[in-house]
Amino acid sequence: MLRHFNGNKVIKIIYDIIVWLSLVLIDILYLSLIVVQWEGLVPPYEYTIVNPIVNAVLLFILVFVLKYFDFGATLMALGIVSIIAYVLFLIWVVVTYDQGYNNYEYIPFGTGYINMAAAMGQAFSIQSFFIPVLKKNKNPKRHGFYVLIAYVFGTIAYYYIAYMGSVGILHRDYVAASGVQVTIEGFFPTGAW
Amino acid sequence: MTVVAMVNGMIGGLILVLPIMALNAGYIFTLIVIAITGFLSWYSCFLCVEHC
Repeated sequence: MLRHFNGNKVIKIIYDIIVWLSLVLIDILYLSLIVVQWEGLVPPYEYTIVNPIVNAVLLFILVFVLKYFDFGATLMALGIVSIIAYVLFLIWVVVTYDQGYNNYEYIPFGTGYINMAAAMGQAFSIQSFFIPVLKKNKNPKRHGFYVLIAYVFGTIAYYYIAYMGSVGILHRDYVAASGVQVTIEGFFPTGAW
Repeated sequence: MTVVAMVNGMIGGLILVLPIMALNAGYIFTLIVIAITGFLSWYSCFLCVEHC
């Protein structure tokens, strides 16, 4: 292992700390996203201190259970169901795309490509978790092939979502209460569909 | 299952923002940006696999 660090243990420790810090920051980000999701699901439909505490405790227990049963990689695969649901949702979005609004124009060269590149850099990133997933597979000679296939499927999925989603919202009205919200949910208010 | 787990881990909350980003970036830029970022990310993973 140390040969990757020129045999220097100090460099390896610094590397490990940096990786650990990056994971802590990602944990904070994802916990905050989970808290926001629960705010919309349970009364009083606003932030309370109970929300992050309960989520943190339950997630901590879940992590130990998954680790004990070595079930993490398998559980990750089950999450594909939500992606398939979103893909089906986009079909409906495109089929019903013409809502009579013309607030947007689909141009070949826009100004948002830098923001998109920054986001896509994160979107494609699997470096923080893919090694444990590969280790579960007992055919190490094909690991490189599996990673390639995962990226091919990922790229196709992102193209599909980008183009189907763009066309689908082109003739819809953006109804977000504030300008801060910039997700596709802003085009589909609760109770309107 | 391995590929599915990696794809699911890759595709996250960004899918809610991606249509609006693609609309702002333009359809040609979308094509280019996704291809380049995908290739660079795959290559860094490829290097990791080679050193495992």
